[in-house]
Amino acid sequence: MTPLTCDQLNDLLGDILNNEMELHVRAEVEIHLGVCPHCGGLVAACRATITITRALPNADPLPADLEARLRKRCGG
Amino acid sequence: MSTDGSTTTAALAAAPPPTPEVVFREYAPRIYHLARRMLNNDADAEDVTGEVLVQVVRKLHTFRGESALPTWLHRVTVNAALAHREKRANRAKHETATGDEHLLDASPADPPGAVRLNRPKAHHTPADVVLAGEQRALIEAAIARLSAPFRDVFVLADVEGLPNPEIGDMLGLSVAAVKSRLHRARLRMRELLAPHFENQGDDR
Repeated sequence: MTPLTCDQLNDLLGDILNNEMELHVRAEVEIHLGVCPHCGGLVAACRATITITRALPNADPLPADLEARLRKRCGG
Repeated sequence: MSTDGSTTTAALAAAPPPTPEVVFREYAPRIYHLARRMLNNDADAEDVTGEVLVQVVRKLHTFRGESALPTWLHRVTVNAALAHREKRANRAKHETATGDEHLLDASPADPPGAVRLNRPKAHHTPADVVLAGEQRALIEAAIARLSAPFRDVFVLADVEGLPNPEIGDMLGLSVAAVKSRLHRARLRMRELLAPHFENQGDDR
């Protein structure tokens, strides 16, 4: 089995972050991440970015004046 | 409604449609936040939210219960935001033509701020991460820095949490194109936020 290069890992980044890898690919990725601090840091930083982005609130209440304008527009 | 308290398929099928009040309380904020992130503009987001709410209230009687509503709202909001952006672009065309849709960034770099983000540990779920107001502003600003084609995909995938095939359907893109844009957007977001992460390089 030929070890993954950093470029190959970068190409797989989307699948890594989405956990969409076949088992043998996952094994190669884990081996590379275990020995390459650069790619390890990249994957960790991307995962952290996704985690904090998904923590953004989607349902904070609207400001009262905005809600009032929207209700008026809908005849409410 | 069942008299013995049990919930049956028939009862669910006969569930009354959501009321306009439920739509305002539960869904108007979601519509507005999605539109604002896609359009980068409060007034445009208000316009789109108004358009979508009028459509929703008009069609509420066609919904049985609330289960189908969120998916439909995502789709209608995305369509309305894209149409609004196109209208705005057409209006602005005679004033300026940048042709910058291929660019990853929407605007020149801002000076770096002093806000620090605690890098979440690997076992943290989004629900575990509580963002302070200034941290939220920092992330929102980074999202706003992405150009529209990348921002759309990023917002729908990583803020709204929608699967790639659904995003592709909404935006008229192949799944491969969604993945490619998402990949580039995530790398750019990481670049934009990296200076604000604490504990650089001490965990994986």
